[in-house]
Amino acid sequence: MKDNRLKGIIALAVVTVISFGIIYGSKILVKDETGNGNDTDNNQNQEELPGAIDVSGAEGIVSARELTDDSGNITGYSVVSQAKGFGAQPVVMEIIFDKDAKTIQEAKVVSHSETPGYGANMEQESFLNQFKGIKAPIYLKGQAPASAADDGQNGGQDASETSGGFKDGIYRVEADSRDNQGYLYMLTLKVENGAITSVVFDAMNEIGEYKSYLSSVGKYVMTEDGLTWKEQADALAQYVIEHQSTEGLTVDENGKTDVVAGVSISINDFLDLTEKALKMAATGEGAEGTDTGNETTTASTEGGYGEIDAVSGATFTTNAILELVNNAYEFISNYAGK
Amino acid sequence: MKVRYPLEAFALAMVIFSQNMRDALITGILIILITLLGLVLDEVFFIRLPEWSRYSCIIILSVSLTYSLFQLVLKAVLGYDTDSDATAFHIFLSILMAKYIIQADDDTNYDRFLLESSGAFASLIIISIIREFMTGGSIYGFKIADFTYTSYGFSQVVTGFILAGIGLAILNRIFKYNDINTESIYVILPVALLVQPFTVTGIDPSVSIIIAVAVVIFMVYSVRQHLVFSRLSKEIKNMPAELVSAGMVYMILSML
Repeated sequence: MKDNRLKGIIALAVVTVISFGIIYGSKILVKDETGNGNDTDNNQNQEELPGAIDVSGAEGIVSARELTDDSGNITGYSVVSQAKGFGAQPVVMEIIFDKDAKTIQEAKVVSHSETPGYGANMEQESFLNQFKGIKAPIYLKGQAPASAADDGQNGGQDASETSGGFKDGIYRVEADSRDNQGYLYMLTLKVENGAITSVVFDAMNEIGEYKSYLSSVGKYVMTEDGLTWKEQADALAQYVIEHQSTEGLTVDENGKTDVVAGVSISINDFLDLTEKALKMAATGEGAEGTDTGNETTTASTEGGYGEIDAVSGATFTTNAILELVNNAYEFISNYAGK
Repeated sequence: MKVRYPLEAFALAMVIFSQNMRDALITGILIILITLLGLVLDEVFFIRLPEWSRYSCIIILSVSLTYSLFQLVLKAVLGYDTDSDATAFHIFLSILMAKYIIQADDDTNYDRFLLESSGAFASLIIISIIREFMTGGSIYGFKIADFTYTSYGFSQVVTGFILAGIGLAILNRIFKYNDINTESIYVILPVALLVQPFTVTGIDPSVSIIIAVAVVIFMVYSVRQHLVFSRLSKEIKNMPAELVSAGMVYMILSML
């Protein structure tokens, strides 16, 4: 019995030493990993670079520096900022601001541990390109607060008179409340040269997932053999573009229509929002500019804000990106005294 | 027949903490360390206590030590962030370790404990290497190969359950365990509580969790009842077969 206890204590001592070895070895490997030129891990020790800015006490800011030309004039700012996403490691991005400390020149992913196929899609060029040229603070499309929207959307690009029946611009409307399943319906209508050129109808649930996305990946299924919700929403949108109005889009007492082939959803929300947007388009009220040249980006005007699309199916990652970009903007605008 | 290593704790680790080699290394060695410490303390001190006090001491020791050691190693030493789910799984691990210590023989055979725990640790690492490599072509975070046939599915609990079942069956064969009485529900329930295979939209999230857990447990229990009458080899019977079944149940329910 006594021998067994002694054996146990010796075993414990050996296992403790081995544990320390494994943990210490892990630590060395982690350190090596960060300096090993990992694809997404191009973190630089910016403190040592010229123009480094003191970031002590700034929440979520890893490093920052001034970018200068050959003659020493400031041409912009680089801020490395981080925020907690879905993965164990925070999402770290480098945001390059113009010298006005507001316009984003570029956004790069430094490191992350987000889920491949979901949050990791933020590395895609199409997502990162959204940031080029937009002004901070940034919001998800259609989620800018009213005050920011007024500043940004009408600040310099009022709807222009056009040859057609509507005034050019992008008109966004959303339902007053969520439906009984928690979805908030929203519609974006684009008018160019007086004609409706694009209608996007969608709905977002309480955790930020779009119905169009959920239906396209099979998470929101109405019937196995019919059109998906997104395809039906697109068909309704196409009807409005072709007819330049909702006239003829009749509904029965259940809110269904048999005018558009394949559409079985209740279209009351679609009709309400479209008519609301058409009224706005008739007067130009609440119009945003249309000359962004990029469907996925809404570049705001002087004193405005930027809007981006979410990373599909990755609410936590999207929120982390919004947080870190806006933290970077807040930090650098305070530093630059803008 | 009693197992001589913390099989249930290792089984849970094989399902949850084998997504990458880093987690597997840390989890495996800490399971061995904490269990061994518990066994030694139990033999030296706790054995003199009344039964109710001994059980309480072992549970408190295991839970507090597991929580603090994992936090210390992962956060303070390695600088990782741990989310609430990972912490909850650490607590479940500690309860399974406490269960093993309480049920262990009074005169523990430390040689066999270390040998068999090392075998289980090796299985855990092999499973983690397979899963990490097949998920993204990397091992311990280092990119080894850039294959086009890697799959995110290998990081899911479905693969964890299946590989854990296979790993435990191989260990049973190696250690010649023919008729061990283990309860797979202690492994499956924590996973079901924290990782649901489906969510019911449009209702309160907590109700959705309850429904998902109930469905998983019901289906696993049904399969288990059916397995009683099947002619499985003794190494595969009980926990290995039930873990593989749980993986299949998760696979089916994930399609909902």
